[in-house]
Amino acid sequence: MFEQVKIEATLRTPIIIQGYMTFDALLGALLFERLQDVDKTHSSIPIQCDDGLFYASAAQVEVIDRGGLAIAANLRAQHDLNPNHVKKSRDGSKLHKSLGLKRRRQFGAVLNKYRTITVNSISWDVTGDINQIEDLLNDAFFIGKKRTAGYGEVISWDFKNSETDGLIDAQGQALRPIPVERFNGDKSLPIIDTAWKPAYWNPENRSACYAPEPVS
Amino acid sequence: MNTFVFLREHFARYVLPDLSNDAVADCKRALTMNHLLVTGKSGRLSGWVMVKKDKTYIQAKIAAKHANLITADPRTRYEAWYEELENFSGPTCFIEFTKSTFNIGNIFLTHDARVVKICGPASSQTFNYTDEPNEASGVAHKVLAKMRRKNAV
Repeated sequence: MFEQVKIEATLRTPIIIQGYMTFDALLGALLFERLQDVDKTHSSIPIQCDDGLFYASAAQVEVIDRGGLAIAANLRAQHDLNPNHVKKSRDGSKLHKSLGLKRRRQFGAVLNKYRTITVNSISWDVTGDINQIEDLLNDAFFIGKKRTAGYGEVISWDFKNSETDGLIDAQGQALRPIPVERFNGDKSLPIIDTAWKPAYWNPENRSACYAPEPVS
Repeated sequence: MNTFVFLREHFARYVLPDLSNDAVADCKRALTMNHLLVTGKSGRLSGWVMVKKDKTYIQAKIAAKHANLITADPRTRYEAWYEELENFSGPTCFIEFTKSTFNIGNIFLTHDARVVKICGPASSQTFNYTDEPNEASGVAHKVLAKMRRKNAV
């Protein structure tokens, strides 16, 4: 049974958020770890869904501090890549010569830059099945990007009553990206082009939307 | 309307010989393939492109022809974008090219001058055209603000 709830994660370390980090995206990532199937994952997210639109807000934070992180990742061709996916010489016997296999400088270093934010907690308004959500969150010890580097460590998950359904707040402002033709709130804010349903990385899911300001 | 359906209808349709059922793939092809130029040679798009509902402007001298397509536009990217943003009238896609291959994930439409997206091959810039730029603002925002101040005098 679906209920309106505010879900709050108390954090121990800074977090890296790219985009809106809606709660359905967070649960989708946790579910995918179990199911390993994108379509099954999206149909199993325990949040009210109306024709693709999940009743789950974007991440809401009060930022204490902002910072930056740059990580240089060295690609090691023999360890990290399936040789079948690497270009071969014409006779098919060797990997492409531009991708070195011996020296570190030939592996190809990639510099990735991130924006970090320091917050006490992060919250979402959701209409969903609390028991199923709690079950999924038992596996969530880190959230956001660069979790294996220690970012976004969660101390606890708390559930509170919520007055909103996860789509629009009391002032009529969007709590998450909502397509223009399906939005009934305050239309004074600018329309932006963004993904409104999972998979959020898929350009096919982009449309003109009303949306809150992204965290970073 | 989906972003890439818009771009297929108002950009890819004009420059591709045929379209598929996949709007994202068509847009990717239009942005990355070699186009026939008026010189008879072929080359990838360079400079800038501005896609609107009624007209699409391309700086490159490509040979493609369509009633709604203006090629070999002599304006600089900033002149074209400035003129559009001063009289902004709906969804527009501002695209600039470098030597890098275009990442289709960086393509966004601009629906409001308060959230302008300048789409490049490797990244996109976002800014509020009605605001003054600050130290952290990108090149496009700074140049366009300068043009606006200059023309306001």
